[in-house]
Amino acid sequence: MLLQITVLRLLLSTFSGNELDIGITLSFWLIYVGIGSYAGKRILFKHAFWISFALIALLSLPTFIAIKAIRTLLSLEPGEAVSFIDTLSSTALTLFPICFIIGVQFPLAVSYSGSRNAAGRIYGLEALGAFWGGVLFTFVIASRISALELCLILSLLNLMAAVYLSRKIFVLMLCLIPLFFYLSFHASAPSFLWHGAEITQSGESKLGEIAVIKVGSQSSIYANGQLAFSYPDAQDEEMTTHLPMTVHPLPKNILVIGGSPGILKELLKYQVDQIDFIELDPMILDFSLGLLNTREDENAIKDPRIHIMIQDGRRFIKSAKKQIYDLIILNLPQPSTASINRFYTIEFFREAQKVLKKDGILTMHIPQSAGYMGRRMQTANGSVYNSLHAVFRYVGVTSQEYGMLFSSDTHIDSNPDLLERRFMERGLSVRYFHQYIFRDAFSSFGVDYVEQRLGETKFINTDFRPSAYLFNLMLWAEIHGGKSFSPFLRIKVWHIFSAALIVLTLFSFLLFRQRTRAVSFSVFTTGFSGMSFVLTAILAYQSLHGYVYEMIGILSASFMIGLWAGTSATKTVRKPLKTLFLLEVCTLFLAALSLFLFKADLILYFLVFCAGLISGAQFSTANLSIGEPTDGGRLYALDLFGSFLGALISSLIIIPLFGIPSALLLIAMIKAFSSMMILSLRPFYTH
Amino acid sequence: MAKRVQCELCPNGCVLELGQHSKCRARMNKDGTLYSLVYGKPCAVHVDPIEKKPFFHFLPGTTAFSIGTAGCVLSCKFCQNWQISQAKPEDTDTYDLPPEKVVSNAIAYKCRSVTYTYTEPTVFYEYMYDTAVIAKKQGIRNTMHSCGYINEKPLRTLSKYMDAADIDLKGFTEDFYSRICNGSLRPVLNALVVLKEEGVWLEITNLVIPTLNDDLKNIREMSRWIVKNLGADVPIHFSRFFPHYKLTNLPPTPIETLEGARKTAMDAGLKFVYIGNIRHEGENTFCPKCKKVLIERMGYFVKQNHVSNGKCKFCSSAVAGVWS
Repeated sequence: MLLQITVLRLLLSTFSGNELDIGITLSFWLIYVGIGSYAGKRILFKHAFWISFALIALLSLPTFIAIKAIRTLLSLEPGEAVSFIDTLSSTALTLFPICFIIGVQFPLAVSYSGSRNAAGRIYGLEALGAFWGGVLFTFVIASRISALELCLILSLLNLMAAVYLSRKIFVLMLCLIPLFFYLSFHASAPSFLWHGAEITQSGESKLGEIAVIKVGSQSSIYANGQLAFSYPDAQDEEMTTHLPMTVHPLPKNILVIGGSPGILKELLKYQVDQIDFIELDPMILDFSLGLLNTREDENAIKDPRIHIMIQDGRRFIKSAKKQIYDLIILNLPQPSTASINRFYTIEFFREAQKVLKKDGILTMHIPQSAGYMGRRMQTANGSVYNSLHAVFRYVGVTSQEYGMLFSSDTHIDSNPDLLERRFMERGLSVRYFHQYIFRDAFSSFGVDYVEQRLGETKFINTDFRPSAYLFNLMLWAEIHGGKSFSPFLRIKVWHIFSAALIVLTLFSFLLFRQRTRAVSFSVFTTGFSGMSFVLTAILAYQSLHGYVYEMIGILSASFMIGLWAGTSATKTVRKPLKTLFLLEVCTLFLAALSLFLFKADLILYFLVFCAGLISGAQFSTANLSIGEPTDGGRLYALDLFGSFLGALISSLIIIPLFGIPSALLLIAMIKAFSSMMILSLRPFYTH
Repeated sequence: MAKRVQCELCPNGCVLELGQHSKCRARMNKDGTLYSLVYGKPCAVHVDPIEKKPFFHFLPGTTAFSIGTAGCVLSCKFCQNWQISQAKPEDTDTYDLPPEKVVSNAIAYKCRSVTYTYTEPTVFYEYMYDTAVIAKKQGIRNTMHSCGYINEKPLRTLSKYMDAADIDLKGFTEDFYSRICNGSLRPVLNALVVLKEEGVWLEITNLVIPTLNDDLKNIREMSRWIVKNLGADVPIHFSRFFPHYKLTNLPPTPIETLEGARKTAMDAGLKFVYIGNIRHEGENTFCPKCKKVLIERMGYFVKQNHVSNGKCKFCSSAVAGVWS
């Protein structure tokens, strides 16, 4: 489990923090483990069990290094993003060996212990181990031990297990191999990624891997390998500040969400009353404040009018009660991840509207391209533009290359002559900004074009149906030459459900009143819905709270402890088939209930726990109702195969395209069907 | 076999089977004839200050009617216009603008010139050529912003009508061109020399990208090459890189790097060295002789201009360029 989370986080930062990776990684992980466990049934030579531990020990560091080396192997330039196909294939390749061995272990362990319902017990034990892994990870390891060291420790632990099982001391000698990898990588790590540009600081925070990279005297902060901002970058600081500040006739109270603290000194050039600066990640804030090296910047952060806060911007806005701000500057990257998309949804805009004064303005960046906006970018930006329009009475655009959106309930006069005059009258001392920028930014030719382009989109971006996020992913795919995503857009939600209906109906002929088949199918759907549910919960969490990176351990742990509790509670059930049926029905209700309960933080954990509980109990009772101990490995493989499909279908298709409610509905539908099949086996008697 | 055609326009030299598209996506083999897919169909049409192209020594303070179609002969990882340059023509939304209409629009919008830009104009060569012929007749100048990846023969033909060209010299190593742009350097250097010989007014743009082409040693070599082969009067623009296209995670160019490049080029003997994409003293034109500010610029806008009749108002020495 620890290994899984570590690998997940590593891959996350290799591929620039895109949550899709969670789904992709889990899918491959599961299918490989499944294949492994299926194959493991056939491997029954004497020392297989301890050798499997030794192999895991030997493979974990090379896997780590392979992931780190992906960028180099794909011969990507520094700062070049990874394409979708490369993401898929490299994940598939790097994970295979280690996951396969992990899968092989399961049937080996079953035959090693050899008692009745051993599969159920070992399934439970594995889940318990995974739970402790998740808990340890979240509370102890996450910010203290680097991934590399963790891999080393895990290798050594596995070796110890191998020694214990084999009772052979010489196995211990193998530890030299992971140690060798550790030392050699440790020495060469930094230059791997950046062709010599210097990494001055790095660390793991709750958002991800944070690094500071220095080129000349300019430092740039990266979160999960994605460029956040550079410092000093006076041009950018001035552009971000003076355009929005000039658009407002009298900005006094200002809220800045994210970005470089370098803009604070610029804001202080105006006669402001209060500036609130919010950054979610303590480490980013810490690093960026540490970079400040001019007197102006250092004085600015000491100014009493400035309040720097480490908090989630959305939570902050929700907790603020009054209409206090004249200007909210949203200084974040594009919504290319679910966690950033939270700041571009209709729900967020409504929350922002509540803390803005009547003539207050919300501003944000949108990327454009000189002279032309492609169709994909049009839909990506358009869905944000549309969502703003749905909330605010007035939405304005600029026609620069890095464009801006201005929204307010009061009309914004963006006549370039007026803005030019206003800017000059304020008599600010600036170096890079100048009055002519307004002519360019608000040239009627350009503004008309951008407005017309954006206005053609009809999509709305919401928390549970993040269309802007989806379109940014497609934009990303298009950047890498892939048209592969476009057909997805044409899929309608009824396609999915009717396809599911047809497949299920076909299956029913195979399953109806067929004991082994129906039970196996139930295990398969359990895997599907369990995984699909967890991913839905993870994405719901990300959409609402935004820092799944920190909490992913605890979310999976909730599921795992549920699994364990489920299997141990049903160790010796008298009427397994009946219990299985009841559990199926429970899943159905859980999925339906979650539709309404996902929004609350603590309930979410509880729901995930319940999902685990039910899944665990289902696995164990299914195993009992088939009644042949050797079938454990096969059921386990089926369970994993179901999980694989669940991970793939929900994270790649259903959640991004149709949102969280549809994903839950699909689970409910599949489970309803599977419970009917179990019901067809009546009367429920045991052998 | 007989239906196979070769495009001789650019160094890619695509050999196309029936129905096949060229590497630039803008041309195809239909029944054994090479067709342009973008003729009269620009997707980007704007009225821009000529300084935005950038031309600093060509009718300063005037506007240019600017057009571009989909497609490009290169595929640079840092392209800021990738949405059209790397797109297929049929995937873009276009205007219907035949050559005569381009020229009449330019006149209607009071533009002194038509600029063929945004993507690589070589891919819409026929459209550009026909428009340039009509424009010249009607007293409108022709300018282009190009990567210079074009064969000598078509370039010489075009040069009869082209008044000015801004050529991207993206780097000064074959390695950079092949690794980052999927092209090569030699044809670009050749095109520069041809344009000079044909008497087309020439400016050069070099986008300085951190860690990829910001080595001052290469910039020095490049500047020396320009002085030797094109002359010290050719203006060069060192532009600030911003994260785009595939290189979205590379930071923008540090200002000191741009200043270093500017100094290096001036030390190598170039007379007009500019810094672009950022407000800087290096946006202004200084008289090479009396060192006074000749043209003061702010972004794309001209604040004051002391060049009259092609001469410095203060010391009367001639300033290279096209001023009227």
